[in-house]
Amino acid sequence: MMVVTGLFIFLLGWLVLPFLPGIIEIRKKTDASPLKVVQEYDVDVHYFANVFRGYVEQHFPDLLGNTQDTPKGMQGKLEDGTQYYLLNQKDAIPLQESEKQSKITRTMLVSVDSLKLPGAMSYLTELYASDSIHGGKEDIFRALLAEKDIEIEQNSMLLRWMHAGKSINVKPDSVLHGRVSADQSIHLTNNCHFERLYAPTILFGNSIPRHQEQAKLKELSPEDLGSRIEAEGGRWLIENDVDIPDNSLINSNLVVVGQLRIGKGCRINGSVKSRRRLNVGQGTEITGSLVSNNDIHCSENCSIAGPVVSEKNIYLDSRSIVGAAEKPTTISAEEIHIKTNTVAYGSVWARQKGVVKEAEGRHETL
Amino acid sequence: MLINTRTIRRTFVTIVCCLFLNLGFSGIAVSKETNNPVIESTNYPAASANQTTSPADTQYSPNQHSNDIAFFFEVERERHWAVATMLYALLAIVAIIIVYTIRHFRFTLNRLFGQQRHPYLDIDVADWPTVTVLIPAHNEEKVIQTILNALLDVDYPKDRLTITPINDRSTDKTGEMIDEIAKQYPDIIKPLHRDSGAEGKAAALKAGSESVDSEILLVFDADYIPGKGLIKQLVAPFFDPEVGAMMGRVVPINVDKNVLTRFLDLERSGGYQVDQQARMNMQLVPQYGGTVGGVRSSALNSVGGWDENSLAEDTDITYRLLIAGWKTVYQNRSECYEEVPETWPIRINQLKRWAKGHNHSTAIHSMPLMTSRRVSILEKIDGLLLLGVYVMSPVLLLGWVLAISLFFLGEHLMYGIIAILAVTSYGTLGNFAAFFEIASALRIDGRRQAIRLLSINIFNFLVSLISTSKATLGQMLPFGAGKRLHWQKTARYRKKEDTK
Repeated sequence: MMVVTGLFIFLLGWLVLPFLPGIIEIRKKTDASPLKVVQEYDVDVHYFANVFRGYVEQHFPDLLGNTQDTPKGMQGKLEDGTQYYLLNQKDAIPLQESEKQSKITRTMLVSVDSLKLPGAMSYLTELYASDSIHGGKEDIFRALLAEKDIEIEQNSMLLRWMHAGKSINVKPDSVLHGRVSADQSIHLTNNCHFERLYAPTILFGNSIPRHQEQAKLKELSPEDLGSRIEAEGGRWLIENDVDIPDNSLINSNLVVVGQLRIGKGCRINGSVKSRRRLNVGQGTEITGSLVSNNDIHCSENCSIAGPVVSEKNIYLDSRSIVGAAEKPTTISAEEIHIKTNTVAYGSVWARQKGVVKEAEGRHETL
Repeated sequence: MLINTRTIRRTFVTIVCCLFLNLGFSGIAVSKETNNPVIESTNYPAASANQTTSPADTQYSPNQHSNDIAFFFEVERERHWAVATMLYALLAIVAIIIVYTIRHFRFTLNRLFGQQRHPYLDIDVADWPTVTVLIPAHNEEKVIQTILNALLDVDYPKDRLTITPINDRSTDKTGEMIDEIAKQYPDIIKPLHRDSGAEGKAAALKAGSESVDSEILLVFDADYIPGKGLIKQLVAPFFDPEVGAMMGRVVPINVDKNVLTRFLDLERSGGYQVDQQARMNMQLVPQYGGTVGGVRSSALNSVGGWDENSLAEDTDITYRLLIAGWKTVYQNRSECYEEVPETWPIRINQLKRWAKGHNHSTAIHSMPLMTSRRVSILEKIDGLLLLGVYVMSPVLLLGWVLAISLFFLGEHLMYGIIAILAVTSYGTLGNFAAFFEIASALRIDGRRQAIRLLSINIFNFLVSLISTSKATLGQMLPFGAGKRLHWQKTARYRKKEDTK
């Protein structure tokens, strides 16, 4: 009897054993809180700037914006261990000898006026200026916040983020990692690399392109684009590759299962989607969005009013316009290649890399 | 879908894993014919377990492979037709389970190692379209104020946003509460009170949709609490003119209430974090889930609007849009809290409603899906498997019955304790993949301690299995077929003080 009872208890224990972890977790509730959902998240481009500004205001409550009474070259250490210099415009950056030799400083620079920085230095702590920041050549910055303008000189690098209350001007061959935002404009020049840009106006190159007058357009009906097309629900669904002839007008959304090539000088009053490669000809205007699961190529003088979204790469040729001053929009892709003299209004999000390239003398054929 | 060496290798590994896991049973199921030429089946039906000959007693040796096929057919000729039917039915069920197992493994491996698609998440600046948020509400006085306040606080151009709570024959104070808030925000909140017409969420949505002219319709159940940036996130995919519907992620908020809420938390994690996102990654059929999501008005109208007779208007609209060439997309990072059922009877009712509604869609949409030229082959396969998920419950139960019956009829799949293990592993193997899916989801969510609950999740699985089987059989059997489907509201648990 004892043996049977023992065996029974053993078997019972053996059967319950796999359930023990679960039973313990139910009783102890070590991981029973709801998954964290950020309820306040609202894609605020000023997030980092606001957090850092709050930090500066917290530690220098009476000094910011008061250039007259600011003691020169005030320095010290905050309670979190951060070393700082509080400067005004006339102050030279009081770098120590070791910092000059290593070309690296970990001191936080807070200027109550403009901040002019020497070149070939690495600033590994955030910098703040109540007015503007002027970087030197080949500088490396962790993060910058200026209430007015920021000038980034040639061959500089940004590691985390920067925000300007007015405008940001970046000289050639600079690399901008992280988020760059300005309340008025961002100006990037040749061979600048970027990731995330936001400003009401983002100019690549030196001149803002203008809308081109279009030639006389011929309105297309669904039948003009072949037999495998259905027009319903406010869109034309085309089940194969399609070429839209030059100077065509389409008054509908367009969804193409295959490749799509839009000819020169077309106008599409709607949004366009291609599951494969999407080529937009010179001078074409699209009043809605432009979306592709593959690459998007836009030739010169294109104008796209809505978001431009690719799951791969976007190539924007020179004098293209994306969005409008009164209707900003988003460009988003893994890689974004933009020729100079192109303008975007709103956000440009390159998940891996964005590059600005000098427009060539000849027109690139797509 | 991108096919490269890595994908092929992963798929191969997946298949091998699945086959290995199922081999135990499927191998056992066929072992009779291939390795174990016992005589008892020739004596059927008189044969019993006691009359069987053990493998050691047989004259068969592994070297007799050349005779296997001939022997298989010989045994087949001598087997009673009823037993043969049962055996083949069982093998068919095992085959279907293997397909589902592969599917689950493929999804999980894709979510763990594949490239993740979030194509519309970066759209944060745009000329936003007009949106109406529909909130069907039947006796929702505990929660309606919270969702309306949350929606009034969202980051979306106020001149493009309309909030339409649909008071659907409430007998509590829901209607008065809605009117009170609407008076304060007459430009944004435009309520709809229903006191006649068809019952249920689909009918309420149909009435709500017809009363507005926005480009996009978002739908929230009344117990949801949308965050500030959620509306923009949910609208962003509609800039893609191919998108007909979109779905965000549902996150249970009342997780720590009891065992059931914790089980449901696991289920939601697996379902959204892995299953839905993998389908999005693989460009298959992510499902519009009826809340924290939306539809494009023009697409909805082009497929005939909401079907007020449907109990699962979400599945129904997903498939009607798919068949018409519209895509449904899933956005995993668009998260929103919900309340999950806290009592088993409510949960069982919810499951039965889902099963009936889903099966209704299966009956209606399977054939059009298969014949639609706008749907890719992969979408057809995934769509069909998705339609079949609730039918799988009675199928699995039937498999159990067949396996046990065959055992006692003398059609031994194996002997003794191994047979018991075989039957039990058969019951769990197909679902082991689902458990793997949940475990992976929890890992991605960073909830490693909750993974411990997997060991007892089998009980939740059994409740779901029986509930959905009952609902499905109720529809299939003559006395259940043709019955009108009735909507049953899910209870709310939030206390008044929680809403403040």
